[in-house]
Amino acid sequence: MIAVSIHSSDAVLVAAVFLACAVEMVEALTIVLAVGRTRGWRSAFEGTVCALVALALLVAVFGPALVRFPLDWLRVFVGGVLLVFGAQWLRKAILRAAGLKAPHDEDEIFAETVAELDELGARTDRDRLAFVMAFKGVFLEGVEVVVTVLTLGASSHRLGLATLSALVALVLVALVGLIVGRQLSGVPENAMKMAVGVMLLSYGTFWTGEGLGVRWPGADAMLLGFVALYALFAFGAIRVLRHGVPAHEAVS
Amino acid sequence: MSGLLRWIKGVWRFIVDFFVGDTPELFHATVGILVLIWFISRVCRLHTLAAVLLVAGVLIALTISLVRAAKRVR
Repeated sequence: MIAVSIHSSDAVLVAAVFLACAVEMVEALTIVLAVGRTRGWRSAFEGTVCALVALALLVAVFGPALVRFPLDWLRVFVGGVLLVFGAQWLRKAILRAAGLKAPHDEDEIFAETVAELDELGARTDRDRLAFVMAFKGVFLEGVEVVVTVLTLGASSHRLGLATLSALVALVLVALVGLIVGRQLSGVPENAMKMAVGVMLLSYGTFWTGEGLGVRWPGADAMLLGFVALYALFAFGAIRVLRHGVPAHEAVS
Repeated sequence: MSGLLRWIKGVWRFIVDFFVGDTPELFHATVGILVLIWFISRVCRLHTLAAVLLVAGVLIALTISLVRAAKRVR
């Protein structure tokens, strides 16, 4: 009989990286689809592949380098980055859920990108503009995933697991995009962003504390406590902020 | 040389924008929290207080940022 042990920290790591990568890749897919449909698929595909290679190189170069850092300093650095990222993601998701910020609309972004590309004139067989747009879209959306993979993976010595989780999300979004053949506007992006924000904040708090000499009660299990605490905070904040916000006042 | 300088400036701007973005208050708060927790935990050796303040600091920073954003909209 094979005993399978799943640590709570591994589960949070896999979920955080998977969701972060899925959300960012849904956004990147919208841009690639808009570029491909407007300017042709060849250059859009080439731009996408080059961006993915560049992102993989970032992981390959910085991953092993990060692991060589003294553990305590690595955890403080990683914890700080995750706290900033997590707070930014959670803040945005709370504001959107409370109606204080316009939701991320893939259909609108698709239409805007297509209109922008249409204005830029006729395309050639090998379209430099399409390449650059696809590259930029995938690379910029992917950098956040790379930082998440590197920070979570390196600090918990699970770089392989974090990379695998991101790859699964990437392949899944690409496959669904190929099958559906359009931008994935039905994906509950804000809920996913909120979950990622909660998990990044939880990891950030955990690693910062560990790096600075705090010993958390329950060790790794404390991560789940942080997830519950920040999730409760998010739901409470949404309820409070929703109160008295007319829908037409939401900012774009 | 000036090309290299421009490139370095561009990369630096990208990094700053990437980490600070449109919420400088969250970035500054995080740096402040890290320094404070380092002092309390490493210098004063008050680990439990550091743990409590770390979590409280994150929640307070997030609350302030949310309230500021809500005030801007209203």
